[in-house]
Amino acid sequence: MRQIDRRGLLSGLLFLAAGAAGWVLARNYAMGTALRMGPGYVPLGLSLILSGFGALLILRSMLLADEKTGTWNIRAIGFVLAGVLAFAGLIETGGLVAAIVALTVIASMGSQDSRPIEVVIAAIVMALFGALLFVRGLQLPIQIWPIWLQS
Amino acid sequence: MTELFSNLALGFAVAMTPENLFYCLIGTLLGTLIGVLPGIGPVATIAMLLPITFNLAPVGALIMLAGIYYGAQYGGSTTAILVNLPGESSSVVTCIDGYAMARQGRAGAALAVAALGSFFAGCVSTVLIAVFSPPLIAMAQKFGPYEYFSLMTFGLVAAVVLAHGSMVKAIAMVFLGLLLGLVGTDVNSGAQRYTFGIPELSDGIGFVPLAMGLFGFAEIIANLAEPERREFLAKKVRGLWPTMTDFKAAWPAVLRGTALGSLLGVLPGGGALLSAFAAYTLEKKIARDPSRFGKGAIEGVAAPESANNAGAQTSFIPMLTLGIPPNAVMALMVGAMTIHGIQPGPQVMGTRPELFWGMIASMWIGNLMLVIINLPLIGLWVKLLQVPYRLLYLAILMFCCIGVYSLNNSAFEVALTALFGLVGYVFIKFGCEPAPLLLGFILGPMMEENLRRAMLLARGDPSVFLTRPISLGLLTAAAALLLVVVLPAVRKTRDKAFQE
Repeated sequence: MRQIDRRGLLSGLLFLAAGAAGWVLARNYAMGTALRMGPGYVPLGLSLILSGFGALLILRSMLLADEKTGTWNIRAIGFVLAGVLAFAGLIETGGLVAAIVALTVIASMGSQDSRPIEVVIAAIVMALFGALLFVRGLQLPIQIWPIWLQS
Repeated sequence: MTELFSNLALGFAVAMTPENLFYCLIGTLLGTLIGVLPGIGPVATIAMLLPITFNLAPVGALIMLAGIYYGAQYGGSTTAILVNLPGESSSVVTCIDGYAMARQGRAGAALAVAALGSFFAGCVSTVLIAVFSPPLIAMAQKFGPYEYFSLMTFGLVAAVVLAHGSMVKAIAMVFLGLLLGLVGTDVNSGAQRYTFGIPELSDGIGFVPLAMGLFGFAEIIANLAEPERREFLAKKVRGLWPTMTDFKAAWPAVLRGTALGSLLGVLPGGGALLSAFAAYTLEKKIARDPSRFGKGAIEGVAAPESANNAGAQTSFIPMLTLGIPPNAVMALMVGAMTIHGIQPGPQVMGTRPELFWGMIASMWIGNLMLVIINLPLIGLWVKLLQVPYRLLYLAILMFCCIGVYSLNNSAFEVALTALFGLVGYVFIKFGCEPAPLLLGFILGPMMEENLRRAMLLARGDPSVFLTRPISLGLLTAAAALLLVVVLPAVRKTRDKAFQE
């Protein structure tokens, strides 16, 4: 295959898609005139320009030397983000302790050299520390324990 | 002049209260602590420590946040010198000669010069803020929507020009940022834009989830992919004081670094990072013997360290006077001020002089504290670095999650941060700098509002931007800046094409 700049091509596609999405979503917003701009005027303009630059990047990538994106660390992405999402899902009903333990345990699997015993200790220490510092110390309005335990 | 002194006197009176001194101390210490740890930049640092300041009085909160910021710059250099690992991106260049000095057993001298240079730069830039803010504020009060729009255009152009990497990508990132900034309720018509019917989005995308995702989470994921790389110096740090020859070589570099950093800090997209790089390049260029650099030249530590501190502080000027944050950290400070019910802009100095001058005075005090407290604490910071990353990132994630959640008690924003973390990792892989996007995001709503107001006032005639003198000047400057960068690039690619 001929050499192309893959990073440029992919980012170009990304910007083009974002611009197109911006255009499609904003097409029903009132456009207005230059004098009295409606809510759609600026978003439509920006989307158009963004797609233009996306297209430019795609064209340019055909001319430049190959730049690979490198390997994707799927394991880190998956577990770190899953941990954060678990925190988001648990914080309101499950309380801070459960949220921190879930975050720590799940996110730790994203690292290649995590050690199970260490993670358990870290989870307990951080949950205690978080609860003491943020809820007891800084008085943030966050539940410590699950709500079904409190009633 | 007398007014300047009375203003500073007011500032010091505010900053010297035991309470505010305490917040300043805590801020600088926490900032240094996080700054020492690699992998968390100043944006994520401030964002995750934001909840600590919720219950404080506004003055105390801002003093503490400012302390965290310049403390982080300071801590970053310690790691750079001792472990060859930049604690902050602005310390990347300090690694080169700082670590070389440390390997020669001159770690003490490098640390002391970095500290004293930073302190000197801090003093100068504090005075600069105090001197230049009032006239700038007087000017800003005459600004209409035309001037504001042109000023922000100039800001975005500068951010694109100063971003490293591909310029086309940087421009596209700005536009993507501008577009993201429009998510939410349109102020003029009340129409919902890009909200997908999600109520949490009707106030727009939060700045903290976006910044924390792009800078914090994305960095963590990227770091996990790389094997740990840490070199520890077995030798003990001794002989903290630089020799006379060191001093002689260092002080002109400190002066140059301070001057350059102060200037670049004010520019949009500038701040600490750019200042440090530019100062190092300058030193290398004007040195009689450039080959010494990379092998422990003390100027290579003194100049960038002074410059990044100066740049970090002068970047407060546009934020405090115009209400326009020049970089992501200042945008976060704007957010922090808004949480405490203060709308940043030219009116702050008049309506809240104690806050304005107190914060400025506290910067000087904070810099002094950093020198006094931190030199003896270096041993402690080094110990902290021995915490392995596999545990460190878990703690960082916890602080980030609690930080984001506590802003609005919104689990949705935590999930949103995870999404932006993914996006940020994709940007890293594609070689797209996130900083221009963030600046576009911050300025987007302000630009749209000013553009619409300007067009209404000018009856839909866009030529007003070119007939108002200040506006014309700003746009000309922006165009000139673009030309300067584009032309050599065009020439270079053409040269390359010719060679082939």
